[in-house]
Formats: sequence, structure tokens, C-alpha cells
Amino acid sequence: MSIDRDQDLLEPGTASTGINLPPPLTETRTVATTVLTEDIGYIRKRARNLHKETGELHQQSHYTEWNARTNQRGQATTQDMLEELADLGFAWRDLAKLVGVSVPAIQKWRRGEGATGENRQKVASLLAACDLVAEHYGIQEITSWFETPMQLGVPVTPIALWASGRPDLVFDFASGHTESEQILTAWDPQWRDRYRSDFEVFRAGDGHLSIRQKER
Amino acid sequence: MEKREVYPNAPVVLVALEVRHTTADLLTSAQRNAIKRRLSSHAPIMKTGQLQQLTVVQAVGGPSAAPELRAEEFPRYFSRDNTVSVSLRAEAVVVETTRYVRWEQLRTLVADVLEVRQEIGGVDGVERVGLRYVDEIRIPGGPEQDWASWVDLTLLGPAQVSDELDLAATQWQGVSAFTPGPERTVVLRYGPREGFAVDPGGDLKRSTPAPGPFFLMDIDSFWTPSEGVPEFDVKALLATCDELHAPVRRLFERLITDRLREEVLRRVD
Amino acid sequence: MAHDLEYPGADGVPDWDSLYRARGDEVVRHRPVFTGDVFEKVPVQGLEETKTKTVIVLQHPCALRSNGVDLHSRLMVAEVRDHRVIPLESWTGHVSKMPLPDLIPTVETRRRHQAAFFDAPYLVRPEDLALDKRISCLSQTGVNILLQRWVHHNSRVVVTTATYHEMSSPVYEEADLIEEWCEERVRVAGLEIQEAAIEATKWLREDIDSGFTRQRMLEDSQQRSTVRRQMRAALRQLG
Repeated sequence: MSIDRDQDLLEPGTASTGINLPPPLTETRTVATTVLTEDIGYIRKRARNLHKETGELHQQSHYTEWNARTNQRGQATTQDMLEELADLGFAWRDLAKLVGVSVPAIQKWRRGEGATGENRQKVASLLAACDLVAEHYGIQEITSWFETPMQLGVPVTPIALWASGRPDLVFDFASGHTESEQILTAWDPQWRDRYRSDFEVFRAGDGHLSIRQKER
Repeated sequence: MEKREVYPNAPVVLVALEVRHTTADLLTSAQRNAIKRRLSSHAPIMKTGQLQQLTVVQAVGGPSAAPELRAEEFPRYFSRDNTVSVSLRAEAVVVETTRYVRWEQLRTLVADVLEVRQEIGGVDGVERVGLRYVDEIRIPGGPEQDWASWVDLTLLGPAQVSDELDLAATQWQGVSAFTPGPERTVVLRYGPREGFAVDPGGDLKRSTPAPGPFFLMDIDSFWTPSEGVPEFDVKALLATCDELHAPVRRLFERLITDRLREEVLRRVD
Repeated sequence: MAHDLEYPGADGVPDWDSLYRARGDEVVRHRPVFTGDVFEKVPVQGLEETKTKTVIVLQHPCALRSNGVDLHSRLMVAEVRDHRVIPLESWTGHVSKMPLPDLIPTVETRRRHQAAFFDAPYLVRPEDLALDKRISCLSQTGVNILLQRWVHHNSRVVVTTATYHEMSSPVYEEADLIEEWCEERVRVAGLEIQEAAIEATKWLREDIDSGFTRQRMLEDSQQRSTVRRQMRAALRQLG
């Protein structure tokens, strides 16, 4: 899948040598956030090209790529996108949670009933995120990765992060640059206390999973 | 307090205030900790920031000089929920929030930050003050919306003649600069975009809807002194910030439609 | 943090919808009977006479069936009646009930909000739980909260819903897979629901490696997606 990252309305254009550029306007700068208006301003665009020629100092945000992939994925029908997610191994109830709708809604879309544009976009963005995570971070079993708790003994999965509106934490976790404990803390500062339990699940004599008090 | 409506579904994703000043001495470890204590009610988490600046000089008609890379290390202070950040660089104080509610709240934080900066380490003079609001106007209907229903026609530029000329306008970007008063400028950057205007992968947490189309309104209101380098005086700076804030909301309100207000901004999910 | 009875929602904000997988017309016949299912017009034997009531299945997910397909000859249920919405802060109380707010979201009368009364239990026969009288199926969240409250009612012990989730999610997953299998096989091959359910259970319990079964794979969250993919492939092969 090719992604056009360099589409830029403000390239100098045809036979532009000798055409005066508009004067640059100064900008209120940020530190903790990146405002993605790099395509405004001729001077900044030229600086960016030179920057790339001298070597990448910053990793380009994958949010730009996520957006591009979402647009591409969004060209398919909701029904087809859902089938593709199911082929990856997602459970329908997890897809419902990830998209923020009920299981019956997902079942309707599977039968070909229409989804709103907003919901279609959400399905496309989930599929695009799966593509991105699998491709950039080498995660082979993407659904299994989404369903597996991030930390032993803590039942929080990337599904929970995504469903609560934190795709940033999902991408962070996938990249491996941030420890899972930090990600859990960013999501829920009380996670250690919340999931501490005096009970544990074990396999009982009849072969079924059961609950018992933990040994002290 | 002036009564301004707070929209339940406001499109603002980032507000940043930057006070650029003359280069100050690096803050010592003791000074950084003292600032941390003073700002603990707003931003108790201290981290170290690093910025790399690449400078390239290209002579007209000649080869470019070797690029220069400069690294700067400075203290940063974050709120516990990672929606507020204060950065104290060698030549700027930057306050950012991704959870803006109203100006008076941000002003309280800014006042505390400027006071503590003046008292600890000290700054000699001010070179620019800027207040920037970045709005991502998103319509719940999906990608098929017609922007003319939601934003003022003046923001649509030549796209308004699309139908007449049978030329589909799919992208446009605009920059307008206004002069509300002496030494002051308001720059409006606008146009339909895709994805996000503020990178969700940054250090501040922001709401992250599925990527898709939105209309950007990036309003940057700033002041630069026409003569000399004024003193870093907190009272004067706050008065300047108030003046910078004044035209922002008026401009935003004038450039959106009633339909956007009713169906999107006042929508409670 | 001392654990207490939990509520559906987070950070003090209720999310009643999260209790339910399906309500009213959304309930499908293909879904196997499961803990938390609500049935109308079920004949129950009172102290004096037989009455018909709305009931909720209390039987533990692992104790519903004798052979993976057939329900036990007696199932424990509790009566469900109209009940005002219990606010979030009171979910640590009302310990003899399982609140079911918005159980019937299509009405504005008192019937809309109900609750299961643990002090009104009955034993019913599986044949009295008619699939066309099922009005609600709980989500995994709903089942976890129901189990927490039912066990607490009987023992005054609080076990976190996260622990119930760990224990019951393989069985819940199995119910989901059987539902999907039945829906496909009824639609494509014209099987009866019971026939398809037997087929699905057989496939899940098939010995694939020295006593290891796909049903056992469901106990590992890392392997569930593999089972789902295998099931889709198996269904395609069956045509």
C-alpha cells in the first residue's frame, strides 16, 4: 500500500524561479504539542525539505499515516471492512466495543445495513490502525495482541485503551518505546489498587475454572 | 467575568501561550525544584525537555553552508492528567493545554507561571507574546459534508465557484493577517484538512477521534514591540494577554454558522 | 483500595447500556441460553400455586449444561420485577438485587427499569425457558456484575468483577462462537438450531492434540483469535 506523504499545495509550482514568495508570518510556538500546519508557509516547507536531505532527526508522526490509511480503508463498504476484521480473528463483541456501538448494530452492518459516516470512519480507522501496527511494529498476530492483557495479572488490554478513546496509548504500547506500567498509569493512575485482588482463578478438580482465595 | 458561552462540544484542541524573551541563564537544579514546588497545584510533574534546532544558511546563487545543530535542555512541568504543560526554555515561556475551558482559568495558570519565572532565575526583556487557539471543526455526518453549511463563506475562497465552473475544489488553505491595534496581529490559518491539526502522539493527551476530515481554524494572536525590548513585567504581560485574547472569540464566532453552533457545538453526547 | 460491589460505568458516570448484549428485538434465537438471560412468562412453582413470572438465569456459566449442549434438568432463576433506577452511589447497597436499568428501553412506563430479586429464587425446567420469550441477554460486563452480586448475596464475600471475568470469559466466548455457528448453519444449510449447536460443540471439543481441544484454547486470551479464524474457515468449508 503506497501512501503519498508529500502532497503539498504550496510547492513553488510551475516555472516559479523569480516569483517572489509572500513574506513569512511568525508563529506562536509550542513545545509539548506538534501543530501539523507544516504545509502553510513557503519558507517552512523549504526548511523541511532541507531537513530531510541532511538526515531525519525526528520520526515522522504516524498519525499522518494513520489518517492516509483510514482514507484508503474507508473506500470499502462497512460490511467488507467488518469481514476483514473478523478474518483477522476479532470477536464481534470486541469490535462493537472498539467502535463504540452495540453488538446488534455490528450484526446489522454485517448483513449489509448501512452505518453512519461517522461509524464507517471508526471501522476504517480501526482497520487502518491494525495495518499500521502490524507493519511498523512487526506484530504478527494483531488480534491476539489486542486481546492480551498488557501486564500479567492486570486485565487491561489494548482493546480497553482503544475503546476508551486512547489510540495514542495503543500506538505507544505497540511501539515498545514506553513501559506498559507507564501506559497503564497514563490510562488509569489507580490501576494497581483497582486490580489488586485477594482471589485468583484456578483449575478445579472437575476441570472447570474456579475462584479461590490467594495464599497469603 | 465576561459571560461567554462554553460549548459542550467545543472544537478547540489546543491553546498555547508563548512569551518569547531575551536569552536567560540556564535554570539550576535547585531553581527547577523551587519552580516545581510553586507550580505544584497546576503541574506537579517535572520532566526535562530537549529541543534540537537545525539552522541552514543558503547564500543566493551559492552553495549552502554546513547545517548547524544546537541542542537545548530545559525543565517542563505537566499536570497529572497530561493536559497541561509549562515549558521554561532559555528564551521562551510556553504554556499549553489540551483541555481548555475558558480564558480566566488559563489566565490564572499563566499568571502563576510568569510570576514564578520572574522571581526565580529572572528574565531581562520581552520580545513577543503570542496566544494561539487551534480548532478542529468536525462534523458527525462523515466525509460528505458541505462546508458552506458550517463555516462562513469567506473561508471558502474560490471553492465557492466550484459548481459554476465544474471544477471540484477538494483542498484549499488560507492565511489572513489582521491588525487589531498597534504592535498586534491576529493570524488566521484555515481550510479543510484531514487527520489531525495537533499531533495526538505529542506529550499532551488530547481527544483522538477517528482520523477524518475537519475544518481547521488556527487563530494566532500576538504582540511584538515596535521599539526596544520591554521589561518582563507580569502585570503588563497579563494585560497584553488579555488584549490578545479579546479578538479571538469574536473572530471565531463570526466565522461559524448558527447551524454549527446548534447541531455540533451545543451537542451533548 | 478496598473492593466493593461495582457498577456499570466508570469515574462516577453510569453506563446502563454496557450491562446488555441484546434487548427486545435484538435478542437472537441462535444464542445459547446463558447466565443473565431474562425470560418472560416462565411458569414457576410458588409455595401455593404455579405462576408465570419474568425471571433471570442465575445458574453459573460452567454449571448450565450437562454435556455442553443440553441444559441441566433444573435451572436456578430469580424473579425480575419493575424497580426504579438505583443510582450509582447506591449500587454498593441493595445487596439482595441485581439492578436492570433500561431493561426495556422502548417504553417510558415503570416497566422500563427492573431488577432481579435474589430473595425470590426458583428452580425451572429448561423447556420452560422458551427462546421466543427471551427478552434480554447480558453482556460480559453484565454477567460479571450479576455473578458478583449473586455470590455476595449468598456469602457476603466481594470478589472483583475482573476475577469473574477471567474465570467466565472462556465460557462467554464459547457462547459467542456457538451463536455465530448456529446463525451461519441455520441460514446456509437450513439446520435446526439444536442440530447446529451440537455441531458447534462437537467442533469445539474435538481432540486436536492429545486431549487438547479448541474449547481449552479459549481459556488463553492469546489463542482465542486463532479459534475464531479456524471456525470461520471451518464454516466456509462446510458451505
